[in-house]
Order: sequence, then structure tokens, then C-alpha cells
Amino acid sequence: MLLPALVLLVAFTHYPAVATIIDSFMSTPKPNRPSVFVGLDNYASMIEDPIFWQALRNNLWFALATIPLSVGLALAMALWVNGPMTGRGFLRMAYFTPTVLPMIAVANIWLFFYTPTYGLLEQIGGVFGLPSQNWLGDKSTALASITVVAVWKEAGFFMIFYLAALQGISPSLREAAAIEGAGRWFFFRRVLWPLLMPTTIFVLVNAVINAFRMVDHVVVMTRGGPDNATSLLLYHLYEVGFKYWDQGYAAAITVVLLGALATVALVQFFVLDKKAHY
Amino acid sequence: MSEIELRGVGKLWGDVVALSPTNLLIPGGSFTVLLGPSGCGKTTTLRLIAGLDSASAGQIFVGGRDVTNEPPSHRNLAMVFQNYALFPHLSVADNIVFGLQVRKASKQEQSERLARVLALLGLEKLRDRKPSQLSGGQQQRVALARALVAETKICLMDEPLSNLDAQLRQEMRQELRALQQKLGLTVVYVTHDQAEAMSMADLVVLLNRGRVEQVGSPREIYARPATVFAARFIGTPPMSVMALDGETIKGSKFAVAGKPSKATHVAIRPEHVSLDGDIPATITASEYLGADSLVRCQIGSEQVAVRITGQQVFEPGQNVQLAWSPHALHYFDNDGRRVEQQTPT
Ligand SMILES: Nc1ncnc2c1ncn2[C@@H]1O[C@H](COP(=O)(O)OP(=O)(O)OP(=O)(O)O)[C@@H](O)[C@H]1O
Ligand SMILES: [Mg+2]
Repeated sequence: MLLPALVLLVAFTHYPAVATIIDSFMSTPKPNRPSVFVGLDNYASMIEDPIFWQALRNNLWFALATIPLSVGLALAMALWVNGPMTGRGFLRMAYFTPTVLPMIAVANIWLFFYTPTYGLLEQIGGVFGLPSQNWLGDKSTALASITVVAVWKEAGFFMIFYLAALQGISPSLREAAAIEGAGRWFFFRRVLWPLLMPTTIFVLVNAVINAFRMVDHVVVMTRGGPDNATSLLLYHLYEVGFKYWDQGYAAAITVVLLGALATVALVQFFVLDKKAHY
Repeated sequence: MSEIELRGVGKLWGDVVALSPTNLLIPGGSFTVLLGPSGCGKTTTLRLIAGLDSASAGQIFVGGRDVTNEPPSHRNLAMVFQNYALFPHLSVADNIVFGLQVRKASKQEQSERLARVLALLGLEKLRDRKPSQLSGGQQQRVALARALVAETKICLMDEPLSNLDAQLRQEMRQELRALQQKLGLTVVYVTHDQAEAMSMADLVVLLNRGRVEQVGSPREIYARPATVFAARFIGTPPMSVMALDGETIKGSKFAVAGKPSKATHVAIRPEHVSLDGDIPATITASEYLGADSLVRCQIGSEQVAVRITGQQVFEPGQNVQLAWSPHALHYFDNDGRRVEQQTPT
């Protein structure tokens, strides 16, 4: 009975993962030289690769900014939209739009915002007499610009989860608190926040994974440039694997990435889970 | 002072009249029940008093103070919600002291008051449980404790017993009533269960379609219903209301002696009719209830119910002779309002 599920699971998840780990200890096959066991050589070249370290650093900054910002923004928007008000349905849809739009379309829209001279930001800035700025072309602003796009997209997605959780909380809890004279902040801190904890954990795990999985915006908007300022781990991996065709090294990066993600997910799962009320 | 007064208070939801402008005085220290069928505006009235909804018209006074525009927390009252509204992530103790924490009471005061209500309601053993680990009756008690710990003189309750089984409901009724008397609370209690209203209330406010039909003690309302609605609502089974055609009961030749001239309907309680008289009737159905039986008879085109003790068996279609005392009759006019009998001779 379990066999079909097992076959699928092995074929699509376990086999590739195991194969990747094996590949990371092998050299990249060439037409005249088959793949041979090279031990930790691939990992050694990773440690010596300055672009890998830059991509890792970029990715950590990117994660550090997108995770709290997108989760915080999602919660704030959900709390705001959850209250009774007119045009609620429209607002909810407006926030959700970033999520249903394909990533490439999103990136293209923002590309237009950021374009030097013609772009929306330039035009608005021009009205206020601000100096011209090449947002994506400047090493000091490129990563931040990509971060903003990611936050914008993730926040809308996470808001849906918070909104669903908020809708599940009985309105009479708020009324009971109102009779006791609890203010908004007190009610949030003592009631809503703890009740939203399971959602927060779920959203956080997703935010972390997404932060280290980010590649499509980079491809469309900057291709890792300028000067690797926006190269994130997965983008670096893509370049190594499919542009330089160094598969052994690419497999090694993959293993590191997967290991890091698994650790983060497990830590969150076990540490935060204890604090959550279900 | 803890009396509650509504002056011309009404509530509209868009075009729907949930409560037409109403005057009502709920005396301090009384157990007042808002009674009526589903959708008649009981919850609406209670929420207006609590300040959870705002009135479309009129003024609300609590303890002589105009609170119409005050938020719920400034009205100095507590409320027990129908679904209890306990905070699911907090223990029983934390649920109860929630309001004290809001008001920043000292730790010592919190624990003193907590201990007092836990003892009062017999909840000491459950203080560290979560609401999901409690039975319905225990949850209800915690909700009550949370309301009592505030030590306000007014407590509003919206069908607090409706989720309990019949046995437990009976017990809780007595407990609630005893507690209210012991603490001298003003309780405003919503129910659609008239047995609950009759057994607990000092004062019953009977509502129908957003209007007050009658305000009175359970005895008054039972003995002298002010409207046809009250006559048809109160009592299990309620009064039989028969239409009159001039002097006679509609569709029959039986003339009701001493009928006030304005009366268009006459009503009588089942227990005030007996089978040893001279009013011709036909049995249409009979229901065996254990201690007694309920026999439904037809006079002309009108139905009348008769309560009989004893084990007699009746067949539908059987002809019987009914009897009642003229004093037991109630009369109503065309608008459904009570018409007093002329002094009986
Ligand atoms: N939020 C609302 N929006 C629109 N109409 C409402 C709202 N709340 C209540 N009503 C309407 O007001 C009327 C009175 O409702 P209310 O809740 O006071 O009835 P109730 O006497 O408590 O009934 P029940 O015994 O079923 O609880 C009903 O017709 C109801 O449909
Ligand atoms: Mg109700």
C-alpha cells in the first residue's frame, strides 16, 4: 500500500538529495575525463571562492532585512484589514495581488520603477528636485532595491495567513476585553499575539526558506550585478552550475545551502514551537 | 446605585428595526430577565446596555449617570457571553484576573480577589487548566468568575446556560440566583426559555419583534398577560386564545357570559378548564404527559387545551362537555391588548 507513495518520494526528493551529496565529492565530468572521487576538493574551492562569500554575505543581509520586514508588514496589514470597514474586500485583493502575479511580471514592473531617467522613482524624485539615482546600477543601493521588491511581494502573501488566523478568532474575545477596558495594545499583546503564534511560526519558516531561495528577481533585475553586489546564494549556484558548468562545485554549494536551511527550520520548529499555544 | 434605565432607546441595523424606541427601568439589585422568541431583540438590548453597540436613538442611564456615549469599560458593569468568550491560551486564573491586570491592580490584590471568586464558585482545583480542558459547566463558571471578580454591581448575561444539558442547567439556575441574592447584584439575563425566566426572575421583560410586550413579575405575567402575544407565549402549554364572533365563540353557539364589549378574543389556561360542564366540544387530540394529560378540544372553529389529572383515556372525535369559571377568562381587543372584565356579578 505504501509502495507508490514511497516510490514517488524517493524518485523526486530523496534520490536527488542523495545524488547531490554524492556529486559534491566528485569532480565535474568532462567529455574526455569521466567524473572521479575528489574528496573535499569542491568544498575547498568554495572556501577559496570570494564570490561565494560575497553571495553568502549578501544573502544574510537580504534575509535579515526581508524576514522581519515582510512578516511585520504582513501582520500590520492583516490587523488593519481585519477590522470592519468599507471596501475591505477590495483592499484584501489589492494586498494579495503581488502573490498571484508571476514573479517575472512583478520583477518587470519594479524594473520600470527603478529605471534610470524614465523610471517612476526618477520621475517622482525629479518633481521634488532630487538628484538622479540609478537604483539597480549602483553597488550601494542595488541590494536594498531588490530587498524592497521581495518584502513587497512576501508581505502580501503572509498577510493572507495572518488574516485567515484573525478571522478564526471569535469577535467576542475582543468584546470581553473591551468591557474590561483593555486597550488595543494590551489586547494585542495578551490575546492576539499569543493566539497568532502558530501562524507566526509557519510564516517565519516560510520567510527564511524564501529568503535563501530567492533567484528569479535577481535574474530579471540585476543578474547578480553590479560587481556581484546582488548575487545571492542560489543565483551564484545557478551561475556556477549552468554558466561555468562546474557541477561538482555547484553540488557542494547546494549541500551547504540545504544544510543551513534544514538547521534553521529545525531550530525554529523546536524552539518556537514550545512557546506556541495551539 | 446600580439601576439601569433606557429612555426611548432604539436600534436600527440598516432598515431592520432590531429594537423600537423603548423605555425600561431595571431596578438595582433585581434579577431581570429579557425574554422573547428568537430575533426579538434581546441580545440587541443587552449589547446596547453594555455599550458593545451604540443606540440609534435615546439615552441609557446606569446608576443615574448618562452613559449613552461612554465606552463599555466606563459603564461599570460585567458581562457573561453566550459562548463564554474565555481566552483559550490563558489558564483559568489568568482568564479571571485579565481585567484586574488591565486596571493594573497590585499583585496582592489580584491574588486575594482571585482566591475569593475561586472559592465562591468552587474552582480552586481548576485554576491552572486551560479552557479547552474544562467541561461546559466549568467554563460557564469561569466566565461567571471573570465577571464577578471585577466586583461591579451590574452583571449582564446572554443566554449563559444555553450550552448546558438540562440537568446542569437546572443546577446552575439555582446557583446563579443564590449568588445574585448573596452579592446583591443587578443581573440582566437574556433567555428565550420561559421556564428559566419564570424560575429565576424578579422582573420579566417580555419582548416581541423589537418591542416590549409586558414588564412584570413572573406571577403578574402569568396571571394577567397584557397582550395576546404574552398570553400565547407564557406557560407550557400557553393559554388557548379563541376568537369571538359577537357574543359567541367563533363557529359555535356558545355565548361567553360577561364579555366586555370591546373584546374580540377570549383566552383561558389549560388548567382552568375541566370536563364536567355544559360547553359542548369535540376532542381532536390528546397527549399523555405522565402526571397529567393534555387534551385538545374544538369549540366551533376554535381550539382549546384542557389539562386533566388522572389516567382517563380519550379518543379523537369524542364529544365532551367543558366547564370554566368566568373569573379564569382573559379578554383581548382587536389590537391584541388586554381588556379588563367588568366586575363579575
Ligand atoms: N449585526 C447585525 N446586523 C444586522 N442585523 C442584525 C445584527 N444583529 C442583529 N440583527 C437583527 O436584529 C434583530 C434582533 O436580533 P437579536 O440578536 O437582538 O435577537 P435575539 O432576541 O437575541 O435572538 P436570539 O434568541 O436568536 O439570540 C434580528 O432581526 C437580527 O436579524
Ligand atoms: Mg441573542
